[in-house]
Amino acid sequence: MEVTKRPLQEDETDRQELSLPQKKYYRQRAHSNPIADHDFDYPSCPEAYDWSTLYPDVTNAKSNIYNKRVEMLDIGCGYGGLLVTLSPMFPDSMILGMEIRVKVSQYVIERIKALRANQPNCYNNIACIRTNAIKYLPNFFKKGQIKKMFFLYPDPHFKKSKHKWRIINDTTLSEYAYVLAEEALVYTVTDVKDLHEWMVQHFSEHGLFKRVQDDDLKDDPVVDKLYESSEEGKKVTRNNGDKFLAVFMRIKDSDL
Amino acid sequence: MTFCLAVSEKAVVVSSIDVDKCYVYSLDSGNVKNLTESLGEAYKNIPINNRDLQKACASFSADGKLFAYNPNKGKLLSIWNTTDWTLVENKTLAKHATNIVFTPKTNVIIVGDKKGDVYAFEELPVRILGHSSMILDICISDNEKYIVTCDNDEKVRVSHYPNGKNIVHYMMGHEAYVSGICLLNNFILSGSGDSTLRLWDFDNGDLLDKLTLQTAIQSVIEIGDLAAIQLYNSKEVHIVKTEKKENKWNIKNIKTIQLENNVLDLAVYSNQLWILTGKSVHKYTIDANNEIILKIEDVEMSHTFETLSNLVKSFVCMENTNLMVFLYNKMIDKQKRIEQNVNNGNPPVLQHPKRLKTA
Repeated sequence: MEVTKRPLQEDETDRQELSLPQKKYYRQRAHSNPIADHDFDYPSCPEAYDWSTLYPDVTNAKSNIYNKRVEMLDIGCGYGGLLVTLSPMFPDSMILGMEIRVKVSQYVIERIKALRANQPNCYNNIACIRTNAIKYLPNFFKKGQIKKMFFLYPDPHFKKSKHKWRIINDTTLSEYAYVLAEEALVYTVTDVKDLHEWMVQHFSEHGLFKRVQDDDLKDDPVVDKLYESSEEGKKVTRNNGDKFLAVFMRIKDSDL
Repeated sequence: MTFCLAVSEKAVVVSSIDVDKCYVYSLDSGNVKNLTESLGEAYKNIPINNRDLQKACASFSADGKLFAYNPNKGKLLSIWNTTDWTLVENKTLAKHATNIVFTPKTNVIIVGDKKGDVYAFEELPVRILGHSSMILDICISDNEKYIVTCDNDEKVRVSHYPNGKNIVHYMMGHEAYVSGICLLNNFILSGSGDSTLRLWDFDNGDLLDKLTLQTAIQSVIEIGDLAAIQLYNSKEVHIVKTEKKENKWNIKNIKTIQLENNVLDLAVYSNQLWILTGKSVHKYTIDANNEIILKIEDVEMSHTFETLSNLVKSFVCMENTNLMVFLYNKMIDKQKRIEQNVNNGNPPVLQHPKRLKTA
């Protein structure tokens, strides 16, 4: 891998102003094959993961997030725009971004590091890991642990032969339903109408989700932020593109 | 596992997917029939598949009236009536089958495939659930309310049946592919390439015990209250049981059966354990209560063993299409890569994994 930036030394994090990483050094091809066996570092089970490496404050008894576990997930967090927006809105919740692209996830990790150094006691509740959410969610989370889940501008994988790579499909929805608590919300936004319809269809047909009507979303403070916080969202605005929002709730299985 | 073995009250089936033969030996008459020869003209014209990784699977229904297996060519599920051994139907699969089982009461055929999907074959195939990697074993609970599946990605999963989209538990902890599972009383016993057997509580998904064996585990099969364990590239079959000790459930290795050749597959009918090796077929009876394991070597059975042995010796095993060999080698390669990286002082994650030679 090419070295794009001088690595940060430990003592540098103490310095006053840490420059934010520059995105131009962290560009990567947008598509990734989520079914291939890349070598990822993942725990064999949720108990085996040391969350304090990502959130040092988990072990700090004075912190808002002391002894808590991750409750919000941004799957395919990209450059981390949403994480940074949500952090001050939900200071008591641990929020995790998952990104499969190596360089992009490194950017977010550096970005959070710099933000924490520049504004002490802020951004301690957000973190990012490089992983494949299609394969490894049950390695990180227990059943019913997640309260909010975000899919912002997922890769549309236009070709029909690549539809199986889409982050929303029959197989993955069952896993999301497993890690989501009852009444937990899933937010999806995309600028591709075809993908929007695909996601609505799959969520609606799955049986463990129901669509939240637009009227019921008025009071949700998160919804407004979804359009603009992420880098993709800003790009779509610049190009005057459409944005499609759909929110779903994890419901109880009516068969049981 | 390019060979497989299936047993019912009246017949023993030995099948090899590489040479595309599926022999039925009738225990009553001593006759032998090759099912693959009766699959029809259209089947004969398909060229033999010796490129794809395949796993031979075969299964009798619980009442013994139906039999299903996957022939070498054309991704087929071939279903047979066992009273007169006539073909009921050939169904086309979306992907190569890696496991075939029948539901215990309703005799519905359940097929797991290489993509990770599980289908139920009634009138039309219905997709029950999906994993993100290859399915390696399937069990259905006796009340047919739950389906247990394991995959190439270290996962054991319990889902509702028939609504498999609703997951009850993931049982996480294995560190390599999970090759076999079975239901023992109210527990799930799983065996993996990481050489461990793990015992899980069916109700809450908790890990109860872990037992490490000498090498990777290739299959796990239930026999009464016991389980028989086949190891990778080994001449041994282990018999284990669950045991309560100081209020804790444990896995106990009670006996090891030593064979002269490598064990290729196991099959169970009632209290009989049948073992397929590279040279022959052996039969044991297991008394679970008294833990007595007897090798059957009656004079009346000698014709059976001789015939089966001749059939098995005609099989050829191709290394390059053997799924279990592939999975094992892939696991070893991964361990080596991680080890090398640790030795080089790098973190145990490779940014650019080398493309593996897939034999």
